[in-house]
Amino acid sequence: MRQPFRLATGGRIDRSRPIEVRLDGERLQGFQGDTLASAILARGIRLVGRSFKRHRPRGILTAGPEEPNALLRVERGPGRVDPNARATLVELVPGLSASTQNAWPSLRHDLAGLFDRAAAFLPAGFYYKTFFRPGWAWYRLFEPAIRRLAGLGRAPETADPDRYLHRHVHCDLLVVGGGPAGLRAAGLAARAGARVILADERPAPGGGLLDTGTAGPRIEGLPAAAWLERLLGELEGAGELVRLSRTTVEALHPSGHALLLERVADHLQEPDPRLPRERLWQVRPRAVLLATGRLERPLLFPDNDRPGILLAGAARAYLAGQAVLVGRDLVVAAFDDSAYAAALELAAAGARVHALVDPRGEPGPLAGAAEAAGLRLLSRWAPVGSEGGPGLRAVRLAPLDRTGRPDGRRERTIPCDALLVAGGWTPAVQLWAQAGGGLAWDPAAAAFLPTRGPSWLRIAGAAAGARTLAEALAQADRATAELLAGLGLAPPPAEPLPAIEEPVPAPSTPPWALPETWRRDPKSTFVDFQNDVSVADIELAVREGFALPEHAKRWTTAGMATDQGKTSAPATLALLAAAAGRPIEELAPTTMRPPWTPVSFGALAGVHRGDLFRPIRTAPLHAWAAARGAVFEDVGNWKRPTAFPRPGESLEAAAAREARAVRTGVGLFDASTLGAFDVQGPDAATFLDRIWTIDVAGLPVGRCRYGLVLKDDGTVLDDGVVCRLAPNRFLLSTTTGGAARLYAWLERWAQTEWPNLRVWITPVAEGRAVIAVQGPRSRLLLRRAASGVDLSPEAFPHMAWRDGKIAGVAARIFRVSFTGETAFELHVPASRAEEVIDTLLRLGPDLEPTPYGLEAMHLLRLEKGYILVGHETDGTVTPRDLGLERLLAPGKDFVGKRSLDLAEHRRPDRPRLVGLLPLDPTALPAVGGQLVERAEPGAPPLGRVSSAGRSPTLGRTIALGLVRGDRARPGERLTVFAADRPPLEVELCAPCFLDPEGVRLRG
Amino acid sequence: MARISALARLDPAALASAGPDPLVLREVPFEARLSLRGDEALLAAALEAVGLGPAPGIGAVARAGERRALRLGPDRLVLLDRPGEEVVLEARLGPLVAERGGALVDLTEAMTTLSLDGPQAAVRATLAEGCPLDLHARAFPPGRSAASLYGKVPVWLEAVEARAGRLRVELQVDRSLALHLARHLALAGREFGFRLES
Amino acid sequence: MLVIPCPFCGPREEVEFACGGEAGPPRPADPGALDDAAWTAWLWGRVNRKGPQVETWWHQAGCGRWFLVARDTRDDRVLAAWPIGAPAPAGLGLAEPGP
Repeated sequence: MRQPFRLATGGRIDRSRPIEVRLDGERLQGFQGDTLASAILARGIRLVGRSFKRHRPRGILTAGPEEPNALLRVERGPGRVDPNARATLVELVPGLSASTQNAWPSLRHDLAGLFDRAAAFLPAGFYYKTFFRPGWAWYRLFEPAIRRLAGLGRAPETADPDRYLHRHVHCDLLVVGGGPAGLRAAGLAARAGARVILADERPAPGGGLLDTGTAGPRIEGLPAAAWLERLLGELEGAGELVRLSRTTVEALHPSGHALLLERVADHLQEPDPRLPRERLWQVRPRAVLLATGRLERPLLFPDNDRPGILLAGAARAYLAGQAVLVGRDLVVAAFDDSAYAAALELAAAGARVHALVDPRGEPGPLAGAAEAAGLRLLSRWAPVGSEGGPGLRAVRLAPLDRTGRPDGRRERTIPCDALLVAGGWTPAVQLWAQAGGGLAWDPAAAAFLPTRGPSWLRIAGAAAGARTLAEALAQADRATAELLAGLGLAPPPAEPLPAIEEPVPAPSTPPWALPETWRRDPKSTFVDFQNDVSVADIELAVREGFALPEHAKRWTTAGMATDQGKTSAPATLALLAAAAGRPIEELAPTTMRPPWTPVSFGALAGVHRGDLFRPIRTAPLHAWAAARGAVFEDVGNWKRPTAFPRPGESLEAAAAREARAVRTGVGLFDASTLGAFDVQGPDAATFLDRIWTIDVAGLPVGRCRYGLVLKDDGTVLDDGVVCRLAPNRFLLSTTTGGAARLYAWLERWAQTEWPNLRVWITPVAEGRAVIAVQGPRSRLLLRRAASGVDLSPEAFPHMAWRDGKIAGVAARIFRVSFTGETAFELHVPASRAEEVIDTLLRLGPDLEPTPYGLEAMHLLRLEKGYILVGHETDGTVTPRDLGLERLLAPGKDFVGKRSLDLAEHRRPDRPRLVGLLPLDPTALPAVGGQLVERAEPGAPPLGRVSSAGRSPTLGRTIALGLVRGDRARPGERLTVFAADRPPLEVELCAPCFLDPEGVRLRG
Repeated sequence: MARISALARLDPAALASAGPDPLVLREVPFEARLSLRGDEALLAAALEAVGLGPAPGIGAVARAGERRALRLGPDRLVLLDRPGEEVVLEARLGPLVAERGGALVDLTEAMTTLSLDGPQAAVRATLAEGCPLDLHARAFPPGRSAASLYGKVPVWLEAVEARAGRLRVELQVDRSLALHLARHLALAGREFGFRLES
Repeated sequence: MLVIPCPFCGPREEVEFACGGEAGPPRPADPGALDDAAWTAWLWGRVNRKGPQVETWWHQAGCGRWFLVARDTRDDRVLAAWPIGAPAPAGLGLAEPGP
């Protein structure tokens, strides 16, 4: 029989829809409604993995997100791989292939299982004291070996082909958890007129009630399942309620922002290909109600991690959910009353309960029912050990004496194939703590319960410590009413609580209350299953001085695995308290941080990957340049042509050719991406005079002036040209990369420092294309296309602007040059840019107009010694360092001026801009290379190379650099020292290699 | 030669997703678009001068036929109209702005209008993928506008009209970012069916 | 993500804004009259208060206005926001008025 532990009837599975998947290559059968874990248990498989450090055999412990052991690699197709997936959450889908992890060569015979034999040498933190000697062994021996052995799971190696989306949504009330408390609260709020979102992480709502069977509560005379169905029916049409299933609230931030991860498609056999795989909801609620339920605790005794030991609540869940018995011969350890219900339900389903042990003196209300059902109750007994290899074969039990000590002489060994443990319940308060809610230890509950929290947040139900369903519903009512009042909504008509028949549970015995059960072997008594942290490790941490919870956590790694201590945190804290001799109330739980469960990178990225990773901006002439073979580079978010290489031409050769064309003929350059700002208003000139170093007020209409913008510490922020369009209107141009920063800069000064100035700044780069026509033949070419403007040098001098038409298109033309040649910048409407440039090319083939890119531009400006912000400037360089004192207008204050007089900026060893000529005219200095006197280790740096290139005009290499002022003498010889390059001798010269008088410019 | 709009060269096939009632994204190229900055008195006088009545509050829209003004902030609004009307608007408002102080800038070429049309729930959900505003029907009905983000791109949104369960929203975006925005919208609307109309 | 209550647009998500940092005293009217110590104290000195702090914020993707925000640096709670030039709301526990 393929599924020996599956019952013929019952459960919420669909037996008419069988599903077959693969586990470690073998076929595994199940049904629609199974998880990987339930299918594995139905088959009778118990060994599902090897623990992280000691490679101990491990089995399924839980039925939910808190699962620490059953971490499998799940593949749903090429590139669709999830390592470390919790088998308890993976819904069975045809085609799914799962593999166990962390074992070699096989799960059953794992070589690294030997580590468990060496456990004495591998306590917590052992790696802080080992692997130091011999020193050579770390890189060659230890590190490679550790890398191979460490980690859990293997990362996928192919790109994720699935799509992920986000969704922003606002609501009045976010209810987290679709159990009875959450459903009740959501219904009340929706009927009161609130916009409600209810998020539940399971495939269907019902929460803890879904995991109960015949021994569960009866509500209004109905079994839980039937009552839930009725409740859900009432929720339909209750108002504005968005009900999300398979949606985990991963984070609740102190500001109220919530992140929800919806699993949209993984459970579907044939999902709509248009759907995303997962959707990350970004919720902005006005109020939040947490009904997140509770987590069950395992017990502490030697070998408490053997496969076949499960939480009692999980056993009920598998029975009620998938009609799976986790074992046929059970022992049940009831430190909490809920285990009695588990024993009753499994016995009624056909399991044999050989012993029901309860360490408490007075067992609770279900003891009578258990005895009536013929179950053998061992009162004041507790488990003290387990036996079996990779699967449980027997449990060792011992009676407890009056002081709570197990009596070793009266120990009994009971054969079984499953042990159900119920260590009590921990309220799931992680989201409460994330949002800033307080926690305090409640001795009666043996748990940290919520205290005070933000005004918009409430918590109700088991998560708030409710022990019965009636209590949970009453709490939900109260919390909802309070939140609705805070939202200004009238409460809905009062609804009486339903009549509930349920036993009132007696207090639990927390697992750490019986320390003698692990005294015999604390090294094999596990607290954190996933990271293999034992009781001995916790005690060692305290002995080593790491007694505070935050320290002990990091030193032992308890609570640091992907389960984030869901089943281990309270026990860890209690053990720390005991070992340090302090009451547990004095210790604070470690900080709880999002996410609640692991989140895929894809979900976080959403659409922002690949082409949409960042907003790539393309200039109006982009398509035109691409058609001409341009190679592009990124400048900020823009794509700009590097060069226009001809077929077979290298980028370097293309740049040299293009630069030569500009110097001898005419070149065409796209300058559209540069920052451009329209500055208007009665106080425009005043404002700009305070920001720019140059005299703006005195700039005549129709003229342009190059200047600098400084930060108030005197360093250069950006450079550009100021053009006066009208008495109260200016156009600023700045670098491409600095445009956004400069816009923020201008708005900030205008609005926060000088709000009384009447000036308005508008970015205008987008609307126009800027075609720079540069070279000695530029005027010749333009004359053929221009109309309505006199282009002669007398009528149109350098650094002026005129309006006219190019190719019949209205253009504003600026004579500004970054190449040192006669230049005309044509500003034309973006939509007509191609028209204009195609016309220029068409009208001047004899002039050979040459498109050129950034590489050529760099060479051309380098030959002239023009600075490039970001190369010659680095955030520490001042105008005087650059030799640009002429740009500092006297007689006015501007941002940065005062700092230029600081003693620091008057030091003789301030950097100074110089030209560099390599003694070998073919050797290219490395940009960023250090300039030193002699190339020897320890030589003090005297400066750095800021730009370098092979000048086609001069036929040799040239460079610019910044050198200490007291060493920056023309003729001085220094050496460029750069990693992995031979030292290069250079001679200093003036930072301009061509036409220093600017004759060519003004032509 | 015709003017080339921001999305003129975008291949519709690249963004298409099948569906019985797909969302339709359409560029409305070269709409007249003027940015007006100034104090409350200037904005009010300007809107009166172009027949749009008293200045709307932030987030509201003043509309007269095709001509509309989106109030984006205390000291800024954008005037939109049929292609070509920017000349008329500039002629009417230029002297007023120069006289009273303010800033009038023609953004007809600098930005483009994208129109998203379809079943209301699909339109709102598609916008909610990238926009952090509250886009619920009560919070963002026709006649409302907002300056915000769609993903990583700044946009100006206007809920234009709703009838028979359908909604049309217009987005104003920088020309150079229109392609990125269109691609993002297409991914966000994929599950509803999506079509780029030229 | 915080919600920033823009005084003009109403509450908006933090992602629409840029933070300008601690709001300090206004720029001296005559920097030339200050000695180096006084000038650099204004330029770089910050209070860095543990508690409610006044900051400048820019509604970059919204209305484009800069304004003032009181934020408690201990728990990142945004307490209030008001336009530049308007007085700070009372009862915020601010040590000294913003610009």
